[in-house]
Order: sequence, then structure tokens, then C-alpha cells
Amino acid sequence: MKNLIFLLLFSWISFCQTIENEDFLIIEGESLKYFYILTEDGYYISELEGKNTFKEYSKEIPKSLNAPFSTLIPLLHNSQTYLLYPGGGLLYTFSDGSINRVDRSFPHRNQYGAHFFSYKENIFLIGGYGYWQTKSIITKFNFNSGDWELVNTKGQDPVGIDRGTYFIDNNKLYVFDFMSREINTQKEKRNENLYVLDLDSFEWKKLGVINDNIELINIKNKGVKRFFKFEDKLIFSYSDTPEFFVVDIDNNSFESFRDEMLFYKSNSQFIIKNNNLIGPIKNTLTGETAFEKFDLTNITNYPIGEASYFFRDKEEFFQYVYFALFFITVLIIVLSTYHKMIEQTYIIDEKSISISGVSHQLSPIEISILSLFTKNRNVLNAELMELFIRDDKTKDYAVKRKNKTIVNLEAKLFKLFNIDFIDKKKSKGDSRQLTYALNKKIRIIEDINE
Amino acid sequence: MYDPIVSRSSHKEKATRSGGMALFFTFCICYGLGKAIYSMSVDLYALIAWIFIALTGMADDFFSIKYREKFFLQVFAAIILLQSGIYIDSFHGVFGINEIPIWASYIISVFVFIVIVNAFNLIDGIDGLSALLSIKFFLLVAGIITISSKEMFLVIPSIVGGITGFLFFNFSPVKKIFLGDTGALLLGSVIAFFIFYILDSDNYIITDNYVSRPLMVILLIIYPLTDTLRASLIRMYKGKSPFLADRVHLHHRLIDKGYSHWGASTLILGLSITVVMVGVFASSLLMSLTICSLIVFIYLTIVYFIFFN
Repeated sequence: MKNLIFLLLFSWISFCQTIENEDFLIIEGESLKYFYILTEDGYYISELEGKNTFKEYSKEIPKSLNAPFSTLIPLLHNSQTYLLYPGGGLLYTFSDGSINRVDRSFPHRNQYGAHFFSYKENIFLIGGYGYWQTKSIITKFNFNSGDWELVNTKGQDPVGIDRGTYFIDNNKLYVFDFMSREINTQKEKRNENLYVLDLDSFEWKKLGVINDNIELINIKNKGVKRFFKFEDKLIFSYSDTPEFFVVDIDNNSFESFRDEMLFYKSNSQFIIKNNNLIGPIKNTLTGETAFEKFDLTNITNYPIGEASYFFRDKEEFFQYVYFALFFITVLIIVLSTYHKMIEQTYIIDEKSISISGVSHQLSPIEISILSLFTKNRNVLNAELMELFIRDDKTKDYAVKRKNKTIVNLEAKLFKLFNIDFIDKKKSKGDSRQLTYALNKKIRIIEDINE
Repeated sequence: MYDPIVSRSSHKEKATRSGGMALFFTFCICYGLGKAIYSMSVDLYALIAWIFIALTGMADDFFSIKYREKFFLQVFAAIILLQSGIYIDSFHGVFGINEIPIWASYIISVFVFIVIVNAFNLIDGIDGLSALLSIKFFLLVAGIITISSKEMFLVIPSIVGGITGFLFFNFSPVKKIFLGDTGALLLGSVIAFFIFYILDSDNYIITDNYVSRPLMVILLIIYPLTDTLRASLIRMYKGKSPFLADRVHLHHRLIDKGYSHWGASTLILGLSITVVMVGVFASSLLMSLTICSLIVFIYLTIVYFIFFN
């Protein structure tokens, strides 16, 4: 079975062209039938059918082009291939078999890892890293002067965009999953938001937080990230995992798929041509680099799991609103329970009893009686009696005085607060013993704050 | 630190004005932890403005600073906050105006900041009211922020947690604490910042499809705004200073009608939630700012005559 799969796979990707040069750049070219592989010695015209023709450049390569070819950033704009020097600045074209410099600038070294793209009649470079700072600047190439111009933007731009994932849809440039670096510490931080730049007004907008899973995917994958637009959707993947991710920004969906074609094995350099992803694969035994083509037509046939949101939107918002309503309901219930518990809490001090700031004077003996209830809700008659027994008086006198004081106190408190405070009942353990119980709804506490 | 009991005081128990300080320190600890462990982050200028305003409140709680000095410090805090780049830069169609010039943005933002901060300070007259209305504001705004900014969202749970803890002490008859100026000013400034965030046209606000931003902002702080406006108008009508402290607030009226602090606070909370619901519902159906504002106004008038008149 393994052999059969291998055979099928092999026949599927039978398109295979090899080159010996280590340093090369693959570019789309103006034709749908072939693409180019540029090297220092010359260039290959690679037809999709498999024919590979090597040609020497018709003119010498400009001396300023002293960077490896693999580091140049290619862009097809108005049927013309542009090659950007790493870090920005120097710009070349590849046409009629020769590389020509078209700028009058210098190596900026300001936008390494930036995104090179075209919109309408202009070409732009956005973001990148240079001079110890991540940048969110946009530079536009002026075809008349040959210089790069800084484009003024407005709105809420990200602090810096390094190694971002970009997607252009009509006049909107979306960017997410990028790193920003702090100037002082040079500490890298992943930005977890989706930003959009209007390419007509150059106004930035922060659209919101992207799916948490994208960060986890990024942490899990150590390979080089690649991204491209395919059938109006954004596809991104990593060079070390047979899995790729499709983002549909219009429908705010994000889905994972199995890479059955194994295009992840190709290098980070690639082009998309006629629904094919063409990329180099290096043979570790022979050292040769072969260019293989992967048919992307049915790539979304093997989803892994359910589609989820790409950036937090209405669904998450309403989920949150329900949670907020639930939270506030629970809070009110808890607080009202607490309030019920404390609403009959009476505070006694040396002279008075008070509730909600309203206080009433009591006699010292009344305060002493109530203070017994601050320790126990049930107070034994014997404990109360101790307050009234005097050496010079009989016990009978003390009993009468206690009973009278308690009756008066109860009447006073009922008149003041309209609630019965103390209830007299027989002790559960000994029916001969009396117990005074505090009304269950009431709590008495002593004010110790001074 | 004890709050003095004066003739217009709604409390007769001993209480300290330490709630705001507790809230401020809770927020500082949460922010430190959130920044270190997670990606919690707010613009540095906003943080400085909050700290500055909290310190202003502390000075007032400890030494009772003069109103003019406090006003000047609030303006200064507002100017710091504007450095964050988040301010009111558009009227979002109110009076047919959208984008406004930068100088007008600054002036309006400072004015709105002063109004909000003082409105939340003025409604802090009965137990729980300011805290409950702040919780309501933060809970509703958190839905917007959770979509727009993950790092800023974490500010909200840390503040709501702090206020929730405070509420138990605020209602406690024994260990009673008040927000004090520290808490009221701090909450007001954080609320003002989030209002700026919503009204800043650079920010993506999920509720744009349902309700106009200015209307939503007014709905979220309807009670502090209407109460402050009403109290100021009454004072001016009587020939007094609009900043004079007295008992003309709507919550005082409820207390005078026999409501407990808890009853008055929860009633106002419930009513202000219904106002938000009425406004958002009307707006999502009609999408006409004028008609929605009119519906909300009629609803407020009915509520006033039923509960407060």
C-alpha cells in the first residue's frame, strides 16, 4: 500500500527539473507556460511541461547586485518582474534575459523581511526590520524619479511588522501574525491582532484579536512560514509540517487541512502558477535541487477539525454579552444575599445600639445583656443572672430585676426597630434551665473601632 | 482617613475613604502580573494619566485639596491621556459632523474627560452606586474590547474584580469603606479612556452595525451624565454654583423616598441597564440617530416620573 501511494505520488509530481546552483531565485515570469530560475551564472526557462533551458544573461549583472539571489524579493507587476535588494532601496527588473537596475536609490537596510507588493500602478514595501527597530512604514517606488518615497499613513498602525502574514483583497491589505521588537531590550513580541490598511486612503485600522489557535500553531511550528493567495483565500503553512491553514477573511473563517500533496517539503521559495505551487526540493544525498509542482486544485479536501473564526467577531461578542449578563445577575444575587444577611446587623457600643447609621441610647445594663448575644446566639439564664446578682440583694430580687429589664429592653427594641430581638425558651438539654435566644434574622456585633 | 459625617452625608457609621486606594493597588498588582505573565498592556500615557489622577484623588482624600486645584490636575491628567493617541477625533455623524480638526479633538476630549471624571465622583453619594454603575459600564464595554484588543481587555477583569471586592466592604455595616476621591476619580478616568477608545474612529468597534458610537457611549454612562447635568442646572437655576455639593442628586431623592442604599443603587443599576437595552434595540431596528435619541429621551422621562418624581 505504501508503495502504491508512493507510486501515485511520484506520478503526480512527475514534473521535476533540477539545477546544480545552490543560490537561485524562482520567479513567476510574464507567461503562464513557463517560469524562471535566476542564478548568478544565468537563468533557466522552466516550462510547466518539464523542459528546462539554461541561458546566459544578455547583459552583465549590475555590480550593485552583490547579495545572494535567494535573498532578493521578486514581484510581478504589470507583466514586469521586479527584484528588490534585501532591506530595500535597490530595485532591478528582469526582462529580455537581463537584469537592469531601475532605481536611483541606495541600499536602505531599513526593511529586512518586509512585504513587497503592488497595488494599481504602484509598488510598495511595507514593514520589516532595520537599524534595531521593527518598522510599520510603507515606502512607494517613484518610477519617475527612481527613488523610494515614504507614504504617510493615518489611523491605528501597528508598532512594527516583522515577518508578518499579508493578504490583499481588493483595496485592503490585511496583516497579522507578526513580531514587534522593543527598541531598548530587543525583546520580540508577537502581535495578536489583525490590522487592515486601506490602500487608497492609507488608513490603518485594527480589526481585532485573531484566533488564539494561530499563535499556538506558530509556537508549535519552527519551520519557515509561507503564505499565498489562492481562490480569494489566504493559505499559510510551515516548511516542517504536513498541515496548512486557510483563512477566508470575508467570511471570517479559519480552517486547518492536511497537506496530502506534501508541498510543505518544498523550500520557502515558491511561486503559484496555473493552480500549481512550484517550489524547490533539495535532495540531501545528491545535493541537487529539483523543482516540483504540486497541484492545488483540490487542496481543501482533507480538513482537520471544524472551521472556526479567524478574528473575534459577532459570535464572540454575543457570547461575551451573555456572559456579562450572567455575571451581573450572579453578582446581584450574591450581593443581595450578602445584603440580606447584613441588613439586620445591629452594632452596639458602650452607650448605644445602631443600624444603618441610626443609633439609640441604651442603659449600661441593656448594653451588657446585648453584648452577651454578640458571642452566642443562645444565652443561658444563668449567664444573664450573673449581670444582676449583687451581694447585698437577694437572688429573688435579681431574678425580678432581670425579668423586668429584659421585658423593657424587648419592648424598647421592638418600638425602635419593629422586630422581636430576644425569645425566651427552655434549654434543650435541661428543661428546668431557661435560655434566651436571639431572633434568627438578627445579628449583633460590638463596635471595636475607635 | 475617616469620612466626616456632615449634614448631607448619607451614612451615619464610621467609614474610611480607603476603597479607591485598595482598588488602585489591586489594579497595579494585577497590571504588573498581567504584563509579566500574560500580554496585558495599555498605552503608557494612559497608565500615567490613571496613576496621576489616582494620586490626585489620594491627595484629596488625605488633605482635602481645593476644587480649583483638583480641576487643574484633572486637565493635566487629560492632556497626558491624549498623548496615548486615543481621543475623540470624530462626531460619527452627530449634527452631520464626522471628522473634526485636531485642535477641536483635543479640546472636546479634555472637556469630556473632565465631565466623566467629575460625574462619577458626584454620583458616589450612596453605597454601591458608583461601583455598580462602573461594573455595568466595564462589563458592557469589555465585549467591545475583547474583540478589538486582547491586551487591553485584561484591564477590565482586574478593575471589575477590585470593585466587586470593594462592594462587600462598601455595604458592610461594620468595616465600611468608601471609594473616596481616589476611587471615583480613578474609575472616572479609566471609563473616560475607554470612551475615547470607542469614539476614536481608528478603532474597530463591533457594535457599529447596531448602534451609533456616540449614542452607545451616552447610553453606557446615562445615569452619571443626566444626574450631573440635572444637578448643575438646578443649582444654577437657584443661583448657586453648579459645583456646590448638596443633596439634589437623583439618588438622594430615592433615599428621601425611603429606599435603602442597596435598594436605590440596584434600582438605578437596573434602570440604566434597561436604558441601554432600549437604546440599542431601537438603534438596531431604526438606525436613525435622531429617532433613537428621541425614543431614549421619552423612556428616560417615563422612568423619571415613575421612580424619581
